[in-house]
Amino acid sequence: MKIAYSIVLSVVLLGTSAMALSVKVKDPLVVKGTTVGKYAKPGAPVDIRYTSEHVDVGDVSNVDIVFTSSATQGTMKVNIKVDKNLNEHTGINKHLTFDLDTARKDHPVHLEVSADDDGLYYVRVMVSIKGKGMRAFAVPVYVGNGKVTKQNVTIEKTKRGENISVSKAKETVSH
Amino acid sequence: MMQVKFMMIILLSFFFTGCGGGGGDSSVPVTTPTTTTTTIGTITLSGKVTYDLVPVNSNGIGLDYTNIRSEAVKAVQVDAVGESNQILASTVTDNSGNYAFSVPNNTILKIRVSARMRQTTTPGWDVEVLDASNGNALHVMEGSLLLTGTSNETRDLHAPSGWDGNAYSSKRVAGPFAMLDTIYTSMQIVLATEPNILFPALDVFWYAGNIDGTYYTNGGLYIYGDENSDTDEYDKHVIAHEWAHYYEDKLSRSDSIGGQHAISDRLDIRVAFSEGFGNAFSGMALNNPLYSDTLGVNQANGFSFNMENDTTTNPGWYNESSVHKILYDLFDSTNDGADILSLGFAPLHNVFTKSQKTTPAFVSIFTFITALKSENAGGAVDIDAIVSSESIASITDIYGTGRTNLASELPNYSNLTIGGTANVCPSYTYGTGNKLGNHQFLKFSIGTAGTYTITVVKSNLSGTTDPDFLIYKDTSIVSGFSTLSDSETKILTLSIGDYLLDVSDYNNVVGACFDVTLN
Repeated sequence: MKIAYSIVLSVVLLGTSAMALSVKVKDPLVVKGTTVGKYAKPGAPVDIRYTSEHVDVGDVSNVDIVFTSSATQGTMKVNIKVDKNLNEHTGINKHLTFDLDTARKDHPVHLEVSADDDGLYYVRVMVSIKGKGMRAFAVPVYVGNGKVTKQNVTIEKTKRGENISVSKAKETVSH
Repeated sequence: MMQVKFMMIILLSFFFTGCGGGGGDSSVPVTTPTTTTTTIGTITLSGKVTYDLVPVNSNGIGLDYTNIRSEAVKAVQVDAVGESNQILASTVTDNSGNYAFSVPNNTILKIRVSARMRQTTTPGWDVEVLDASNGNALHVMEGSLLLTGTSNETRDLHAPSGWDGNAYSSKRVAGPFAMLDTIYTSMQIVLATEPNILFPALDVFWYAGNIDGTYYTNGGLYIYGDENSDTDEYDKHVIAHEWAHYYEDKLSRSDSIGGQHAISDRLDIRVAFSEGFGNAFSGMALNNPLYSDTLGVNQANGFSFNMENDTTTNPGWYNESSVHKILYDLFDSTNDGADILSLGFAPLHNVFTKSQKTTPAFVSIFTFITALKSENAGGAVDIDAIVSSESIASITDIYGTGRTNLASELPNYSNLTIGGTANVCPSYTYGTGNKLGNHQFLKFSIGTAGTYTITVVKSNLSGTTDPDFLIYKDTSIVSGFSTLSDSETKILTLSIGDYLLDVSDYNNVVGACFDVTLN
């Protein structure tokens, strides 16, 4: 558990430092993360550990994801989808299957991706084990400044000083 | 609601009258201020607040965008907001989504609906949905700034789903209100049992695109919002399940250690009970035993299970499915198989909010059924029958003695005495982390308050271990979580009382055993 916490912390710290960087990334920073030990809703009994390199625009980021499952029989199906603005160089099969048994716990997947623009991208993974449910994961890939592209969100302050995230309602007025 | 009267003092004009010329008379310039006082009256501004509910397909797999319907936004805060951002009137919607208040006429204002349910009287609650991507700002939706007339007016506000038939092409305004609706429903079953309850504050963290996962921790629900991967705002059972964890945490007690889990897993008893309760509660609150979770491209995929009809894989005291089937059968009014009980929620709530909070053992199916049978002695035989239908022998104490299946894996709560040694051996037959056998339990009593040393040392020849432990007195109080190999020591001050000790090996070394001492 303690390592899980420290990894999560390192991800946060790396993420923070990534945000503060200018566009140029001299050496790839390795972002690590795991779902081990985190609270989770019901679903497939699968955890991931991952590393992804924070790279400069146009450079290749090595993304390594390791799937582990407590299930000891059956098949784990893994569907991988990279963000549309990520270029995927590995050419791996995006629909993978892993036979589960008691001997082998780790099921690694390696991808190489790059992006033409600064940003925070994701490699999304959907895992399913028949009879045990499904589970979704997202592995971050920081490129350049690594900043999230802001969505169209309006943030205002109320008279009382409270921050509000404002959406437009569909309104019907009558007398 | 709020009667507002405005007195406006309007300076209409200043007249400067000059007379000149002609004869050079003696007239002088005169300044004449003219003041007019106008009273502005009020009108009743009312309306209905609704949101797009995207239902789950009847088979429990995927969202059904062809049957989106409007649902009332209940019990949320509605404000009339003036041009200068001032609040002119406030109220809350009723159970049909209706609101009404008095506002000044001939005034420009807009209606703001906050994703917040707050009632400061008894019963009371305080739930809000926050935008974690923007500094935890409160989600709100607003109408337009419009001039009120001189007669009563209606402004209906609707939160659209953002679905255009193929994708979410505009903001998912309905999301926060959909989640609040499920939380409102979840609160009702508790309110029906305890009408004067004061729910502790709850924050829900959600935004379109959230990839952080869906889980409860420390007073907050964190909800997925990742389109084409996993969105949970319309997965009512998922939201109610997570709300049940809030209920456990704030109104009852959970000793769950978290982690991934599936319905057929053989789990640590604390995880099995907490997750099984979450599932069962979602069925109870929503009056629907079909749990469903939608995922995937266009939210068209997913999985479901039926807490009433499905056959449990690997049934037993360590299985969350067994727990949810037992709890749901105890609650529901449908008799089926071994289930001839219809207790409703009240007896369960009594156990959760009283004996479960102080039970000397870890919270599990054993502590729950022991207390339920004690408090409902007349139904003990029928309770045993339901429990037995999940391959669980009659439960007679909070520690689970008398198991007949996987009895060797029973956490037997080894007794640890001051100056003595107990030996424990975690096992990994059913996986790691939070599975059955990974954590070994001990209990000890302190008769004299003072400083004590707890040591866990590897006791046999095995690989390099990393023992850890947690000490509990009702709830976790101290951890021993260093990275030292093969041993762990903690010196601490303990008061008089009964304690539990949870010992595990972070490295999951198969075959490793540990001597535990208390001095």
